[in-house]
Amino acid sequence: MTTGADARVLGIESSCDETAAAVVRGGRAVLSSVVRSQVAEHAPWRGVVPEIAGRGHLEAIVPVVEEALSAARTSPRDLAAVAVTTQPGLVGSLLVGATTAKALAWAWSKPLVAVHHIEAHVYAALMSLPEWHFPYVTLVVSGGHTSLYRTESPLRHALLCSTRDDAAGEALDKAAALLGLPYPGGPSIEKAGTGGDPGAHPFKLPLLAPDSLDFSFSGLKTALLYHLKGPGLSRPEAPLPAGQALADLCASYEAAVVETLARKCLRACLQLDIPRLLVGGGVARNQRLRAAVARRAQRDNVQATFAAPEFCTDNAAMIAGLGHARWAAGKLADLAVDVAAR
Amino acid sequence: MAPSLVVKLHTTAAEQTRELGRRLGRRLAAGDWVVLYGPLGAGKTTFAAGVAEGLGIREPVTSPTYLLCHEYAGPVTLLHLDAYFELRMDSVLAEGLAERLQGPVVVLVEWAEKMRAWLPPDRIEVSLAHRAEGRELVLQATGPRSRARLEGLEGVEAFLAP
Repeated sequence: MTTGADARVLGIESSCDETAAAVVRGGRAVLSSVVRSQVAEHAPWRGVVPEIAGRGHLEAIVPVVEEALSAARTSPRDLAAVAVTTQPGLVGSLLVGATTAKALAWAWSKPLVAVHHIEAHVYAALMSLPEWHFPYVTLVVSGGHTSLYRTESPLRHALLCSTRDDAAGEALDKAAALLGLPYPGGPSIEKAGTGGDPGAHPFKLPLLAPDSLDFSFSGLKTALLYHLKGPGLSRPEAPLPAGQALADLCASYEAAVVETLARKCLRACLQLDIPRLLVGGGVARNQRLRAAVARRAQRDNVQATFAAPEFCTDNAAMIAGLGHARWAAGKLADLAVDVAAR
Repeated sequence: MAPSLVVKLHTTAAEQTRELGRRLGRRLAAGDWVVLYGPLGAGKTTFAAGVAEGLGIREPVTSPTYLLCHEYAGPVTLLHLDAYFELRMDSVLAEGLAERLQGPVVVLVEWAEKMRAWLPPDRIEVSLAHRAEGRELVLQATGPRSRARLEGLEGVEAFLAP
């Protein structure tokens, strides 16, 4: 029988474009983490190929789970529990992971743990820390989410604020589309902006009221559009920038997004008087965001901790990690547990 | 068949676009579809947020681009769709979302041109466009039901385009 510290949990994730499985020991040691992404297949279509979302997961899930177990040299009987993302995400995609996890938990007679994907992104950042000192201010920033939380424990997160319109990742994705750069937009803009001057085109930062923690990125997208095509699209035929001009524009736009994120999360630390910050989610992989947050955190005497880059984007190690914490707390799921889009 | 009704409006601030959404939202009932067209930044999500408020929904409305469909509970349930990732939307509609749209709900669609095959014949179409000073909104009814909604729309005189 396993004890908490060496209990192994199998995590399964299929909420969006990644099919992933991982084995984590004691909620900390990642014995394996397998991620199969459909993004490369989707990129030419700027989205997901018809039916590939659900069907792609269905084809990938069993080999991915087998690979995760074998890479971790773990047999099903070594597991303490099976954890799976049940929300939020695309329902058809979530169902593939959830159904697989239920079947495995039942067949192996192991407890099932249901994990909230956003809480798992927070856990991914906690996994970077050798010791935990709650509470933390937490920023989760991705394509679909931009939210600040007050994190009281791995299982307790009070929402402080969210975006009023678009998530930061969406602001980057849609800017990339306007600039003719490929999906996903965050990495495209980061790459195209390399060597660019972030001060070349000062975009107005959407900081809202001086004490507001809310985010709003939709105006930034329109500002970029009008910069490219004239106010009110008065120059619809204007050519897209290239070379240094493109690099400058990407660097400037990205700077506006990351500066806004950095200022808001440090503002939250100061307002709540919590000198510890966690940052997770796909956009947290962005090097300029990490640098901007680290710079402001140092100035304000805040300890900023980021999820490891490979655990920023969707993965199952964070699902297994949080799954361990939930299992240890006795928060198990029924085999009838449902998935939810939000 | 009666000719379709077209109303051309002009707004100079996001709040006005939202207010027009609110006025339309107050007129809607379960079974109505409002479908939005227009490029990035034209104000679709702003208008949609107004429609939700007009329906009496209190929860703030955010962009459904990634999850494709956000559901809001209120006096009448609102399903807010976004077909920006059109192929992903197509697969999710085929996986069962299309059936849910037939229920007692108001359906609001952004990037409706990317899911044309799934739209009902009788719907309110709103085309948003960038203009030098603000936005142009063209509201159009495509059948008797949507026409009745638009004919009763109040307080839009101030926004009529010249």
